[in-house]
Amino acid sequence: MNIVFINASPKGKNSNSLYFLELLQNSLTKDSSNDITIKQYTITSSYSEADFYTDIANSQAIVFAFPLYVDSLPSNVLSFLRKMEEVLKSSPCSATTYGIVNCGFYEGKQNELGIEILKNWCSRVNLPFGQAIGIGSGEMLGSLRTMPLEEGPNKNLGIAIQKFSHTILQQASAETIYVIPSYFPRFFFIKAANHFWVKRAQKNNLKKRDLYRKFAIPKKEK
Amino acid sequence: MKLIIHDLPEDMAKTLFSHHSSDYKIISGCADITPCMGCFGCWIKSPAKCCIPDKYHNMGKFLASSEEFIIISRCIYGCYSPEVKVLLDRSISYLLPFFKVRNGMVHHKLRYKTSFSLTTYFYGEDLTPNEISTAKQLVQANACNLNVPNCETIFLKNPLELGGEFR
Repeated sequence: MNIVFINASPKGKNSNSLYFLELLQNSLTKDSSNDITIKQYTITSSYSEADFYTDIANSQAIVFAFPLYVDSLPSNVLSFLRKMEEVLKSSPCSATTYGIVNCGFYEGKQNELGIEILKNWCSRVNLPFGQAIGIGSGEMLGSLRTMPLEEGPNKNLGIAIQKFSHTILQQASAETIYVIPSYFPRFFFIKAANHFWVKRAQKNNLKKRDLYRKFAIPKKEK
Repeated sequence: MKLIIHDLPEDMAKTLFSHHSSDYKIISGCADITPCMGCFGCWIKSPAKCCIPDKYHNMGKFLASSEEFIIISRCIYGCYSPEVKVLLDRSISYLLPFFKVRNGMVHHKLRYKTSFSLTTYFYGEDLTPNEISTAKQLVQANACNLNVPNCETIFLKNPLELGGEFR
């Protein structure tokens, strides 16, 4: 089975999207009897377009991974999909499309519209849509790379990746899986995340009050 | 101030905006604008301002200064066009990085006490029912995140149907 991974994150090779694709690759190739070839592309890095479209044409599955920006796809991902649509008009393929969408908000369900947009693209280019994972707390889960997937906050993510890889191996379709961190309630996530922003800002010599900076807004003339 | 962002070709923009009143600020999205890099600099490095040094680094300030925000965009797969989306992606300095629960889900806290009305015009000749439904929901989701009390989404076949709207 030939699979193409497309890391569509604007952060490229330093992205959580790439990390989630790596988790998927580990799950897909865990059983050595699965005869799988995975070709990976990062849209913000240089690559051969000819090779990319050849791999797409020869694939049985395409997996997109990208973050949610303003409740939808980052602008560079939209450009990429629009270009792919043009090329696929003259070079059709029959691969099933899958998606991994992640957001910084706690709830995986907030990725729903990003996934719907990907599904609408599939309808435009006549590709079957298989399944997607919508990962909440993506920044937090992306920072827990040394923790095994069966443990702690990673447990839901591990279960989702396992089910997702099973669907891909069957070239099947299934309902979207939404992920929130395991054993990590929302109120604690908000506390931890808000503390995280302050700690990150301190590395830029900023105090917490600096983060509230705003521009003076001119008052409306009467 | 009334802020308009759009993805219209130059000649069409001239037709629609040539007689606009002075309280409109019109920003044209295009393919050359540097997209958001996801660096969080607008939150934790240069708060309230995007750290990419071009003329779009103050999108957050423009939003905060507006009573009305108008988006004119081709509808692509139920989303904004890349030319408009890049401006929205570069606007997140309008919000704070900190989270709170609003309407039952986690959202960013608001940086400014001001608010604006939002009108979105999507255009396209052959939009599917799913694309229209996704686009409507997207605008609602954006309105929730931006704490916009009034938002309207209108679908057009051709943006020239807006002729005379912005005088």
